[in-house]
Amino acid sequence: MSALDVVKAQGAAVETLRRARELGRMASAYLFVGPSGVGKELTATAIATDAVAAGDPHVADRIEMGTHPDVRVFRPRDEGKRNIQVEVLRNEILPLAQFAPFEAESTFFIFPEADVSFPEFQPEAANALLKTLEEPRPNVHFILTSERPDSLLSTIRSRCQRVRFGRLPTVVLREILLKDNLPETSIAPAIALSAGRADVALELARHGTIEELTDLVFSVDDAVRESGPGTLLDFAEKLGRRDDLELALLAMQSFYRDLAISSLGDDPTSLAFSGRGDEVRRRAASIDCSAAAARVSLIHACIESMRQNANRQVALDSLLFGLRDVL
Amino acid sequence: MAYTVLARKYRPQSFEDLVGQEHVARTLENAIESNRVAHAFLFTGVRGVGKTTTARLLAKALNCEEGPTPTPCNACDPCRDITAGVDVDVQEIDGASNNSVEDVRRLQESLPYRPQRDRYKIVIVDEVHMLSAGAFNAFLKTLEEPPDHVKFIFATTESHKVPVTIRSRCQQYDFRLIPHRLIAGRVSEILAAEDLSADEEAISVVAREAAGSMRDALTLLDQLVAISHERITANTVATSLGIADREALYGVAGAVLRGDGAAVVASVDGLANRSVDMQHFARQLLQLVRDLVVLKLDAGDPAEWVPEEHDAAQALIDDVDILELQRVFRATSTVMDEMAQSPNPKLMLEMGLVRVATRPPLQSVAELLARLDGLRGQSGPGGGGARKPPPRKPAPKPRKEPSVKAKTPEQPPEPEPEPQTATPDPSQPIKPATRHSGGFQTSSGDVLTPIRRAALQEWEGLVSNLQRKQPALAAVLEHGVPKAVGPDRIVLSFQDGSFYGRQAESPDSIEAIKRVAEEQLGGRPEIEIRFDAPHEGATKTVAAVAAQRKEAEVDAKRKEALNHPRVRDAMDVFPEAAGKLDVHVEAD
Repeated sequence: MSALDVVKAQGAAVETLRRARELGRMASAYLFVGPSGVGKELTATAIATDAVAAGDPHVADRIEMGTHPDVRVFRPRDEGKRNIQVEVLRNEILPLAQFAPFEAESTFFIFPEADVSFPEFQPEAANALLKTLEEPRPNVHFILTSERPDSLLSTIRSRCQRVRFGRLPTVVLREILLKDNLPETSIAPAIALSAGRADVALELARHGTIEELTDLVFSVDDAVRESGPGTLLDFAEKLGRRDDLELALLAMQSFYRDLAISSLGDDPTSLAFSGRGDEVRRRAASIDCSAAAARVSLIHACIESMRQNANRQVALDSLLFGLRDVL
Repeated sequence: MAYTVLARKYRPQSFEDLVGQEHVARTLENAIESNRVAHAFLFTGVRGVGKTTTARLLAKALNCEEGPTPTPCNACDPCRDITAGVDVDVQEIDGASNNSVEDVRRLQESLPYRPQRDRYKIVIVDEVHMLSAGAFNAFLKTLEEPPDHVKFIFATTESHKVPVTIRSRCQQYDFRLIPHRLIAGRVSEILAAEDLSADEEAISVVAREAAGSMRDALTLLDQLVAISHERITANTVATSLGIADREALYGVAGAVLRGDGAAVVASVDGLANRSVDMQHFARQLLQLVRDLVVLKLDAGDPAEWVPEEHDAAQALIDDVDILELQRVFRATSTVMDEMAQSPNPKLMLEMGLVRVATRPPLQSVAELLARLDGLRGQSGPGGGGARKPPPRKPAPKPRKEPSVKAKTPEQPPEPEPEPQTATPDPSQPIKPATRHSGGFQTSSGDVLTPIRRAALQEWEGLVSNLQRKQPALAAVLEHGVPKAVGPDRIVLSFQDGSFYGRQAESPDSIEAIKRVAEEQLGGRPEIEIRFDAPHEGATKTVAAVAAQRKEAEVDAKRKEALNHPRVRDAMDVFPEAAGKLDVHVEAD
């Protein structure tokens, strides 16, 4: 029995790793690439467990609890500057890679969300990692995971073997959500909006988030269609106070994608908001497909500018006015 | 036994093995043979083209027991130690981790001592661009004049971050991207050495995906070896990398160019279901559109296509305008940027392409011009003309540019346009009267008789001529009303008791006026200064005309500002501000 069995619906990735291990061709550095919440980190821990625990359940437990010295996970920090600082890497992480494995045959260093830990625009730590990443000690393995690999330095990417992870199919997402005892009514729309990502689906399905978000995107659309500047500004302020703003914006993107698709007369089952398909179609009738697609792009620009530290409120103001003025 | 990745295992161990960097290898070999090896090198180039490898090779070449030789033996102790990275005298330093001034000082303290075993102490600093500014500066002195037994080799992917002071002390070698053909060749060699087999096409795809970097190619090969059962096939490569096949690519490109949004959505869905890498697909699409543009321009064979592919490409663009293609290219390139940052690349690709597909058609310039003409016909006379204020220039002002001064004496009596007439210049009053006829319209609509107008014009010319020589006198004369101006007689009228009149009466002034008149009118006129009662007729003083002209100009500017589309838009937004607009015209 392999720990890799718990990974669902990532056949190609799991097969690659399994074979590499069987053939004794495990690379010294891997980059797991794919959307969030599809099992990248799970797979990383699983392959490490297979290699380190070698079937011993006690060792596997210790790995799972994060107390095994040969499987170490370094996440981005929770707050403030999230990237791993170069001093931390140099003084606390890299020295560990100089030692032979403590207990097992091999050592694993796992860096989830590597694009956040080692962003391209703060390349100090990433550069300090390069030499070790290319030529680590024998039996030392690095696994980086990222949903935005293009935000990593090309020098990092070129040193890692890339393993691709796909989006989860609906059946698998369903299984995951059902395990959490979530109401059936939330599951379907949450899956549709999640675009194959389990973490997003879970967050949406919990606490009735999905219903609230659906109402929100429809009311945003109402506002940009009919309201004057004052109402739009109020709306932007309301949006700005949300903790799950990015989720809301992504939902808005899906909404305008729905409009674009139904104005093309496409099959209604592929809509994210298929639960309110009639309403979507009614709105799609009064909007140009190209305009709806342009709105998706505007929302993207807003998310991106906030990610780059733009003033949240100003970005939202500009977004709502932009949505209104799209031709 | 731990597995060593191919890129490490097959690191070139001689200059001969070094692929695609012949220019560097030959230069270094010649330098070693002729014993002209510099003491500091800077190797620059993108990831995985051989910088660190060459640095180690050079170290071996210099320190080999047989050497210094361009062909190190790889058998002696120094060679073996350098290959293993444990040589005492060859230090390989990670510039990113040891980037402070203290690190550099510590290194420098060790440099004066002779090497322990080898011929040279060699310091290889990789990722040198990460040194701090202080560290770079601490290096400068040693770098310029190191002890004889010390050689520095710096390697970096970002040469622009290395200060010029460092660069100027090093011999810089720029490592090129490795051509597709050479990568494919090297990959085949390694496959043979590893006792593996692969399709030609699979090797070609690997080489293409590596985009000029040997390490990328070998990393990829590692991955393919791990998942292939016996033989590496093109199919394995495509699935494991998520590369879309050419049909799917042409399908999407066709749908976009035809403007079929629904087909775009359907094909992108299809790609996603086959778990094609969306980013990669966008890159492929962008490359295809680029090739199509080249094909459309007939600028040679863009991509070494096989005949069928060429035909398919030709079919795509038969009915498409070149401008449309360029537009699609730009839009696709924007989509690519958006995808790189988005957590949901599929959605961005889909919507981006739908947007390109459903773009409104371009209209030709000829058509637009025709429509514009149509519009102009509709709006009555003055519709178009009135918007453009007549090019009114301010009245001549005292000017002191020496160039103008130098020119005036040479001016011929017969007024001729000066060379500068190409640009409307306010300082050109001397022109045939007819040319000036617009110049005397005043905002109050005063009408001057032709004779008086001509007199005023000549007078204005005289005064402005004087302004360059005797500004004070010109200022006085501006207040006189010219009653007659000719080569034999000039009559000037001032208000009774006018201070200006008395100034003008002085013999010096009379003489100055005569001189100017002689230059300009070709005769020494009699000058008569009259003192008349106030409000004398319609004839104006030069000063009055100038003032009126100025006023008209300010008025025109004010109207122009109020009619500006931005201002009108602002008025639409703030209707309550109507009638409260204020325009400030600042002095030029």
